[in-house]
Amino acid sequence: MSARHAAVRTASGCAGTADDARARIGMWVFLASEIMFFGPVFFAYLYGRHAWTQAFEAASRSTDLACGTLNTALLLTSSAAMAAAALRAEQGARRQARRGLGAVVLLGAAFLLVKGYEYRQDWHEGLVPGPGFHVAQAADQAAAQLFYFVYFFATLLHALHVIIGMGLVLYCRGLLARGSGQTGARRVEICGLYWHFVDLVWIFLYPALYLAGRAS
Amino acid sequence: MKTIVLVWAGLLALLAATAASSLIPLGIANAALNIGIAAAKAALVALFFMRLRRSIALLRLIAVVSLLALGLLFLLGGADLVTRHIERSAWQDARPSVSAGQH
Amino acid sequence: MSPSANTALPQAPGSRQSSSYLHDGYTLWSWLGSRDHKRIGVLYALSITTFFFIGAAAAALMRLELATPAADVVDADTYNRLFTAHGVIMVWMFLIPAIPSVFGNFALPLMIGARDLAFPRLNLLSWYLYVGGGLFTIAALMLGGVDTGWTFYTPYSSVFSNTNVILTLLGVLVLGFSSILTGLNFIVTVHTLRAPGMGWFGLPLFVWAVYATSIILVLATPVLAITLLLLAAERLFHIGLFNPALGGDPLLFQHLFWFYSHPAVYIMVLPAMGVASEIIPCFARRPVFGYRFMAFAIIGIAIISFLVWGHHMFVSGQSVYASMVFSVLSFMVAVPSAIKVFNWTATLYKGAITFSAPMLYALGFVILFLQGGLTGLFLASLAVDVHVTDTYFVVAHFHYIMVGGSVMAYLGAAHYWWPKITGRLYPQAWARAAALLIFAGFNLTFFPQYLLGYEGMPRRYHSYPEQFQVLNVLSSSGAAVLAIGYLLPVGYLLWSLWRGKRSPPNPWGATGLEWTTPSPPPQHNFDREPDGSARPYDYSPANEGAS
Repeated sequence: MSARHAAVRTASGCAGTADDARARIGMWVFLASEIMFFGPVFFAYLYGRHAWTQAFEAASRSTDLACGTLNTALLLTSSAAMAAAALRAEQGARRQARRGLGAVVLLGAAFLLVKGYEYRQDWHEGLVPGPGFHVAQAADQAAAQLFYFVYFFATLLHALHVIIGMGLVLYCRGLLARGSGQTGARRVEICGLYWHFVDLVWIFLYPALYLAGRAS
Repeated sequence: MKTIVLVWAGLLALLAATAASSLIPLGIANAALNIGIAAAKAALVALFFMRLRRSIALLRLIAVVSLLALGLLFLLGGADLVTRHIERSAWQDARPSVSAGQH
Repeated sequence: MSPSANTALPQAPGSRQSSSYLHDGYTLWSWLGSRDHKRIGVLYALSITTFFFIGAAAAALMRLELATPAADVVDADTYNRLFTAHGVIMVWMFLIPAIPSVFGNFALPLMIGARDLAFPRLNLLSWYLYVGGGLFTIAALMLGGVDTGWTFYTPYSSVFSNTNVILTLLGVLVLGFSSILTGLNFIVTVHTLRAPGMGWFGLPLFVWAVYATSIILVLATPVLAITLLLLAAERLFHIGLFNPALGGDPLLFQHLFWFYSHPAVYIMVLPAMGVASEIIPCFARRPVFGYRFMAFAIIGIAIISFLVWGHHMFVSGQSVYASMVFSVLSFMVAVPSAIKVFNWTATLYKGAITFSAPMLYALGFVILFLQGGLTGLFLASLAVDVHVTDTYFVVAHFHYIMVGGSVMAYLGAAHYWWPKITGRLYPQAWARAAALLIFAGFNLTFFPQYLLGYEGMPRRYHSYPEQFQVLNVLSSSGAAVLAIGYLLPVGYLLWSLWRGKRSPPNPWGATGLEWTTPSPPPQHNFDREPDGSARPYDYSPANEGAS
């Protein structure tokens, strides 16, 4: 029995059970697969940024910096709320944990609303690839369209993950309401890992999509 | 809890720094700074919110290995992209394979 | 403790059947809703075998067409759909999942002394994703078909092809998620559910192999998923990321596609190597030679497999410098593979060899994998590759590895673990005959293809100049022999389910925890928690005396 417990004893600094260790390792392996899922989108972005630098930078300038920055702040705060909720859940403070999880959902919803507003603006400004597309200052409109293809593909994929994350958080909130002890606290921690990952992806999407060539 | 609040403040400060610095024309330093700050934010989230700092080594190993694997894609794939025009071989297209668009 | 003394508790005659996992519920739902890794392994075996024969049928039609130079069986469009279907089905519905999802699922928990995988419900979900994705993909391939080849190169697949490309991409996407979840399950299982006393260097090499395969599954398959999604979006919305006419780059697609698809071939071969490492020591009665080198070689292969994908793109317009780098790296991957071949051979030295059916398959694997691997070095040389790329030389190379390697190992695993899985023994004479027939048929089918390729016959063509006919006829004849060879095991293995002798717990006298439990095992695997501290492959003479 000792080998299994030794691995578990120091997991996350707190004494956890074998189930905790399994769940953490499982979620981290899943996140590793998610890194490899989003990563190639960044590769495609870098490909384009290298091949059509002027067009990508011009297109990046045409994104809404205020919306992007606000969204980043919302997600970073939601991560903090998530971490706080996980801490409270571990300590057995279920009501506070549920409030933290509620904050995460609200912040996630706010993120999606801002994104939706931004998409509407993009549509009206002719920034959706297709007929009627035009980015000011881009010498190569075809390449600028490719930027916006990556932009919409990446942010839609990310938004899908935000929605899934919100679903998981709501599920955890429900679990805590029913008083599920160690299992509930563990599920909050594991869903938290997923939520933080969604935040991590955005942390890199933000400079890639919104800040490239901003100062030109 | 105090750690969480401090990390959150740090993240917002980094966000302000990256947004503000992007408006100042610094040439290549803009991109370097943005990537660096993003990496710093990611490190804060991973180490503190995702508790990698206190976890068993295996979890850190998983994170590092996946980043290395992604890095391989960037490194070797990028190696093709940046060296494509140096010396063309007989079976590479006479025109650049990365076209400038025709619209 | 010697393996043969460590058998399960003696049970009253008749009671053994009633307590096995096979008798743990007889309804359809007890199978389709089972979380038992053993039942899920059997479910996978049934679905994988079905898909294999569908993919083989496509190949049969192709070889029928290629028996004559003229296009007299199918037209060009249909032929394109046939080789695409053959490739898609065989790669994603057979080769990738076969050994891990059938034998990894069944044997891995037993081999480490666990009750089940780490996440049993996830395991069942993996199977449903596999069957759902597989059926959906087959529907897309049969009803209308796809003619892009299994590699979906752009801009043909994104712009010009008028076939069910997007549907097929979605089906493969679902199949990909199945693999990722299976890999995840195996990784967590090996880390957290080993029996007490079983350290990493106490693991059987099959476990090492499936573990390394799982790492590749988790890291590489998502890249395929996102690439296929990008391609689907590109095709649906007429974007130009991969289309030069709209400013894009087809090589971006190829980099992304092959970043997955090269490690994918190691997903196909590493478990096969693991199987060989189980069978050969058992039937040579020798511990595997150089256990640690074998384990490190497995990890080395997994790592280097991520470094070589550009060798599929030597003539696609990739930069010469990148091609040179990929060429050198591709030579490097042969080193750990060669170490393994040397060590399997050394394991045989001074052994007491029994040429049982599993052993015939395992030895056949080593010989054919060696052959295929060597021709991989030919292809890794830039200059040679320019001559033989996109010819039948390449087709022969990968079939030697995938069919001569993976399929042989899959059959070897089936014959090795059949008594454990079903509790029945099959007739050895038929099994040996089938193994030899398959070996002969395989070589007759694929060796001529090396010559065809070297002489310039391109792949993916349904007609060819007269000068290639003799070799093509040989190849098609071999395919017919191979077909008979593959049908024979279906016959006698099914026969054994009703009429085969009942198997003892350890019919082969093998080491390993899976042989210490009854054949077939009870639902909970072990009556007492097993002791994992025994050295693997402890076929030393001291232990042999007790058996």
